[in-house]
Amino acid sequence: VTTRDDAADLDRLGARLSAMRFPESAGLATRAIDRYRGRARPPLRPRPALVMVGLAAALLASVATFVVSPSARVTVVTALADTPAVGPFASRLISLAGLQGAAGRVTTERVSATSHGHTVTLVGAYADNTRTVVLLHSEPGLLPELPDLTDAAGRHPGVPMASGSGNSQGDLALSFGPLVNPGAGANHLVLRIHELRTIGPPTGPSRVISGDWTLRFSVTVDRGTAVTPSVTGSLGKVDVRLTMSAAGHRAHCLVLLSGPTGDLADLSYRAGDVRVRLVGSDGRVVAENGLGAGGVYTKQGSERAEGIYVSDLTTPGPGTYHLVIAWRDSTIEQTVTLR
Amino acid sequence: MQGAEPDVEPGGVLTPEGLAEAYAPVVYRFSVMLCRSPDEADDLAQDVLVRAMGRLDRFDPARGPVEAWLWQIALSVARDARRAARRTGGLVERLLAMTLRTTAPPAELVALDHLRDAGVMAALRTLSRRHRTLIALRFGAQLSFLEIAAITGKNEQAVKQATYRALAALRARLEDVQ
Repeated sequence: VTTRDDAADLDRLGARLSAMRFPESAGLATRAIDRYRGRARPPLRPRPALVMVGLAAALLASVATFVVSPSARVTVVTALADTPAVGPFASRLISLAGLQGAAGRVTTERVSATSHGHTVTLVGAYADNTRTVVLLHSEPGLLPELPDLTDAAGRHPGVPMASGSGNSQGDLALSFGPLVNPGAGANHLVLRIHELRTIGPPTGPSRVISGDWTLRFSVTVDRGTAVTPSVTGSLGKVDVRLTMSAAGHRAHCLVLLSGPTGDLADLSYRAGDVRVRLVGSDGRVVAENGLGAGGVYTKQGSERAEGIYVSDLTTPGPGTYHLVIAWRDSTIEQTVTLR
Repeated sequence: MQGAEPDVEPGGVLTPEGLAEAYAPVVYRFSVMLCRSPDEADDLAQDVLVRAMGRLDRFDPARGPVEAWLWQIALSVARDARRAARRTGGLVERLLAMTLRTTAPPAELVALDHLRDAGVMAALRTLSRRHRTLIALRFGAQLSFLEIAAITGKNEQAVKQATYRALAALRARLEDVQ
């Protein structure tokens, strides 16, 4: 039975749907006409979703094998923030990559590759015992598809999770897993990109530019970042695994989520409402933030979804804290020690 | 139904290009509400337009308006695409990124509005295909209940009730997440 109020409510929802605008359809007619005329037959579209599941799955696997192995030795290569060439985007990219605590240990080796008129530049790199991060710059609106990182022996440190603002600035941070048996000195790496994907608004179409962008660079593993054991629990119906890496007063949280698609969709919509707090021994909140960059992925038709988010905190420094992750009425609490 | 007035040749004949230009926006609206990912929607919308352009010479105005003919093609292409996807059986290829949040500048009203729409679209994509089809036809293609009834072979009242049930399901999903 539909009451009058109920019907009016549904009518409002219908009106909301009718009012939606999809400006990303602007080039659709041209693409369809090109196909019809046979002048150009571009691939219908790339399959970024295919990539994303691989990225997500591999990242989940790599995070699950994180090992706590702090070391006192710190290798300073070049201070990124001190380099004018990368200064304008340094803080943003470093924030996106969760490298605030290690900004001074990011290399600034600058390498470019051009193919089919499009240039990709590696502007920085960083590695520690949990991750290998490359900072890239490309033309705004282009993102590397299926980037492949190998060391001198051809070994792969996993596939990347991308975070960045490539659609507007052309800056991108790619986080791979840790290097396999890295050397104490410079580790020579090769990043190969065979496709660039154009990206638009969240619901926009994309296309692929094929080419060969090979970037050779080196990075020294930073042994100075400590990683806490993973914190696990549930927020409502969503399973959570949080791994925190810290250096100095900066803590970077990688948050992996798994749960019903509807709950994950809700959480992704209000990721900032998921609060990550560090509470001192006196009970005061000393650091707090919501979830930042990240995303939620699901198989079509699946009732389950996975999510990956990052959250960065400015902490009072090394010490023992109570870590609280809260969302609505649910909380996960655990004691963590930051070194 | 929304849509620009299609370009016609001097003799009053609708051209394939005119058809594409006139109906691309509304075909995309339909597709994006039906499909579970924007990329899939772009594929479907292109396929619908290309097939319609290729078959425009078979369109007979005496049998009804071009819109009704176009939406029958759209439903047919959508069914074909679904069958093809089932044949390939690729589980991973049908993954989708429901949302991709980046660290955007705060307080951009346009962006916030878009995120809200993205939230509604994310909820919409969790509905059954039957519900999505009805919503896509009614609010994407902006067809009347009578027009939907005509191209689906149902009666108008049944279409109306089914569409409200689809809206109720969408509202329930949205309420679940609030």
